[in-house]
Amino acid sequence: MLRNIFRYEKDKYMHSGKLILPEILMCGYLGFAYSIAPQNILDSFSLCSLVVFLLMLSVGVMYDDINYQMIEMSMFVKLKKKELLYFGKVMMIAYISLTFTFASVLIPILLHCLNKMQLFDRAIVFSDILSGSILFFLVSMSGGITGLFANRRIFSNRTFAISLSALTGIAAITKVSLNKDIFITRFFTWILPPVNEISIAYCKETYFSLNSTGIYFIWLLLYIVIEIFIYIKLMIRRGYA
Amino acid sequence: MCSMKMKGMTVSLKKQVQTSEATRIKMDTQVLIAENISKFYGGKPILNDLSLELNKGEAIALVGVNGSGKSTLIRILAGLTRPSGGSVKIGESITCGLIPDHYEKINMSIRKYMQYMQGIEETHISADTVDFYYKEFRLESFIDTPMKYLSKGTLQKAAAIQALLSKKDILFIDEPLSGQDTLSQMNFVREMKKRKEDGMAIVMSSHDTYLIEELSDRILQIEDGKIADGTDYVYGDRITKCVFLIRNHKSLTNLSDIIRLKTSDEQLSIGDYGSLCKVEADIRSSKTLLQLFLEEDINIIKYEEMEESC
Repeated sequence: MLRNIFRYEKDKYMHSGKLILPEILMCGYLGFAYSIAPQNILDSFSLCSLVVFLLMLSVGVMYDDINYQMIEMSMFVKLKKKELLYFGKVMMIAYISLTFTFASVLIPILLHCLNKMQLFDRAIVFSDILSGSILFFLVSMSGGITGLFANRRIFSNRTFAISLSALTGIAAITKVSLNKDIFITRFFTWILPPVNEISIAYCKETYFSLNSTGIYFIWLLLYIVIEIFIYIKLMIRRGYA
Repeated sequence: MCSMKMKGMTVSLKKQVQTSEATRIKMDTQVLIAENISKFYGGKPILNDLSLELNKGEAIALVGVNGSGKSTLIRILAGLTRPSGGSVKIGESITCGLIPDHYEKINMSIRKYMQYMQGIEETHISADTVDFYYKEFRLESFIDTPMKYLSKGTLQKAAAIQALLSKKDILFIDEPLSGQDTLSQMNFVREMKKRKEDGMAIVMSSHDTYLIEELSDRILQIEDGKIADGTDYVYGDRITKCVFLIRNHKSLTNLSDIIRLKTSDEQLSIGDYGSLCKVEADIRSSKTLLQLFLEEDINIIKYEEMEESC
């Protein structure tokens, strides 16, 4: 059942052309960012994760533009477990996150190989690929799910929803320095996804360190789980007014 | 005193048994209970303290002027919208379906869409079932066309099919016939009647008198957010009509002239649906028309008699 909801969401999304712009921007960023050599691999992944977060946030926000309410309503009535309908959307975000993760990890490695191993200042090790994949996937998911909240059933004013998402995105990626400079902002920014914290912790060492980053990975994972739970409950509660 | 107490206990126990028995019987026949439903939009009441019960195999038609709250009530009953007050009770094992008043032009073929809809049903749906409905609704030639290129009527057929794929206990329908061709309308009504006999309950909102008359057991008129007292949606006097669905080999003008020449029926109406033609007339003209169609070598696809208000 869930498989078919996901397949429906995927078909709907892929035929909408909404992924084209984020993909072009992603490729543009990767091309630009990796045009300078040599680079520190963890630093570049860390910076790239923030860009991926913003792109996935926009993917989540735009997801609502391909909403077919009547079709969704007939599916909602049919389903005994209403949660599945929204979990299908979350699965679609996870699917897009995977594509961004592959692109963010594989393209730099490919460029490194093409540049005679001169792109990065040291050799790529397995922990770079694994940790990078986890980082990109978690950051992408948190961006996408955060963007899903900016839909018309939660915020009836679309302009407000988009503006709020943009503000959330900027605040989330600058959270740490923002809190340092303006003390009062920490009372608000704690609610935002910990992408800035994780990106800073990730590139602290020359090689990936689970000790310094593990806690942030768990924090972000829990954040995503809570976000998904709240999103599904909220969508069911809001109904189709 | 002891015996009195005992007597009292027996009576109370008997009452309890009777009450639970009554509840069981009630729950056996009732599929939906809505109590004191009210809905406000921006402080303005749309529905006000409205209650209704729906039994197995029963069809309720909600009628009323545009904006009276019919669609809102359907959405509340279907669990799509939360009421501002009151409650809707539907048994856990009850399966529901919805045919909305329109379907969106999604960039996906009907075949693909139905595959997904088959997949989200609780029970397995065979490909034959889907093919049967494609045929019934004359959709075979459109199933591979992206839905974004289809007309409102064709999309409405897709909406009807997805709701009919599996056995449902309650079907909520909102203007289901809008834009559909005559044959599909007839097939839809026939399918609904069959489902009703199998125990499916229907809640419909419609302005289509044909659908209301053919299907509904109760007609509830919504007025000022309430079910209007004692209003049974009066249609006036009723006449029996005969309806011929014919395949027209000749031009419609010629055919109309011939029919009008042979009958002096004031109720006569001729509808042109491409190669098909729908002729409605007073039942007294049926023999004359039948004879005429045989003489003129016109194919009669369907013949039906129906009651209509006048």
